Amino acid sequence: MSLDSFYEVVEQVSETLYYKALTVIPRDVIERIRKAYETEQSELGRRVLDTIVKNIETATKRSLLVCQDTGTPVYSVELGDLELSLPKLRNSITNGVRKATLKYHLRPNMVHPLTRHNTGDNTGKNSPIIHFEINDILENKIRITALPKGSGSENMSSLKMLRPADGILGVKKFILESVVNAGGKGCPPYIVGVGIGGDFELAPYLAKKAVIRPLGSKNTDYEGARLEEELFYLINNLGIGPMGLGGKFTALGVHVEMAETHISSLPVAINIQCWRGERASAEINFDKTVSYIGD
Amino acid sequence: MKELVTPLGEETAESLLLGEEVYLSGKIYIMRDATLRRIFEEGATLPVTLKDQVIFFGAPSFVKENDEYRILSVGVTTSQRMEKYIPRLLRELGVRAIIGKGELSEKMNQEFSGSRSVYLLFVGGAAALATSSIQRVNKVWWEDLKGEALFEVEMKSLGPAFVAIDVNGNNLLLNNRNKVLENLRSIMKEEE
Repeated sequence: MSLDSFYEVVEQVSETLYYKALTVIPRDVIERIRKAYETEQSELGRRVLDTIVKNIETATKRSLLVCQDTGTPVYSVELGDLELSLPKLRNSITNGVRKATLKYHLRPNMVHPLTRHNTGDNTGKNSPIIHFEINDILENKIRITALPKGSGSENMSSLKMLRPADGILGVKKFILESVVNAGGKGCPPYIVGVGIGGDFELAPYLAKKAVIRPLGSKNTDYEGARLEEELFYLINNLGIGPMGLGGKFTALGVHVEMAETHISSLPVAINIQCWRGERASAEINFDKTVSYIGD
Repeated sequence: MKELVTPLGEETAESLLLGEEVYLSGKIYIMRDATLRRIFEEGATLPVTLKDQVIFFGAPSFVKENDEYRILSVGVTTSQRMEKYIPRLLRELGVRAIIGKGELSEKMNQEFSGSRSVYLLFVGGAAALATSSIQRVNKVWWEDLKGEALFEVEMKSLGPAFVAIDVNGNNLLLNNRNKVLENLRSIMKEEE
């Protein structure tokens, strides 16, 4: 079987996922927003949540983007046991991003970091950002997730190299202070992604992976799951509320991802995700059939 | 809940209460970082007069068909980045209301009270609502700035927007932020 057409499918799927993530809010996210609306006590908080629901409905009805920020194109590619060319996969995804940007007139966001020159089609040096990862469970397929992360919330993210002596208390303190610092600027209610352990670069990556996880899912580690529950409770007692106007719902969910770390290290990263919770995934089988996840 | 028609007089701004929900119809000017740099740092001559007008911090994506502009998506951006220019927008140009998202710092309170103008908070990410309130694009200047060009649009019931700084300089988001800092202190005390 010729593999060339496999890469064409990857290109098509990457294009579709980019647009889908900007126009269709994941079901688990909408459900949490609706539930938050029902239980929010703050009058202004309720008005904001009601507006968010109406906005999502308007986007669907009129085929509009949910939010104007078309994000930084980030893709996660999980690979099963397949012999594929990574450069070819990268090219296909890059072409998909370019095509989606031009076809749907998506705002081109990607610029040179110093000259601020806009590439015009959201591609360029290391854009899209693609994370390849091995996932044995997938066997003879690959899973692609598009996460066109908006900058308002991304700018509110941070990393701190704590000392082991700071312990769990230090971790909680850093997370809460980071959420307070984000305040209403990153469009709460947030999905808070926390990465603990690894090194300077792995912790933020784990935080971003935590953001991709569907709401309602739990960390498989007992300590991790307990920390998720505690942080969710504490963050929703801060009183930031929807759009910073006060109220219970500062977070729709808190996810923690962990990795082993060095005896002298305790890296902690927090990735803030706005209420839009943009993400879209699909699985492509070796026979080139595609299934979009969550449809 | 109040329906407002632009331009806004001083009296209208004075009638708005902190936290009040408003909807705006009429001309609104869209601009952000690069537009403001052009006005205030490159010294470009402003092609319109902004006295009593309402501005919206954002960068639309748009298409131009036969000299007609169509905005595909527009939503609010974080206002704090524009703080450097807000005093001049209000005091020199006479802007009556700014629509944005997120907290503005305490320094800004006196700018709004000194110019008898208001800061309105639009829900971040609610671009579908903002976009569908646009009746037409009247004019676009400095198109080389792409989405950060200066847009004059006709809006119908743009909202909801919430009065976040009133003409007396009361700051709704900062008031809440102070409560949040107190909550953080007591949470950490309990955790320790």
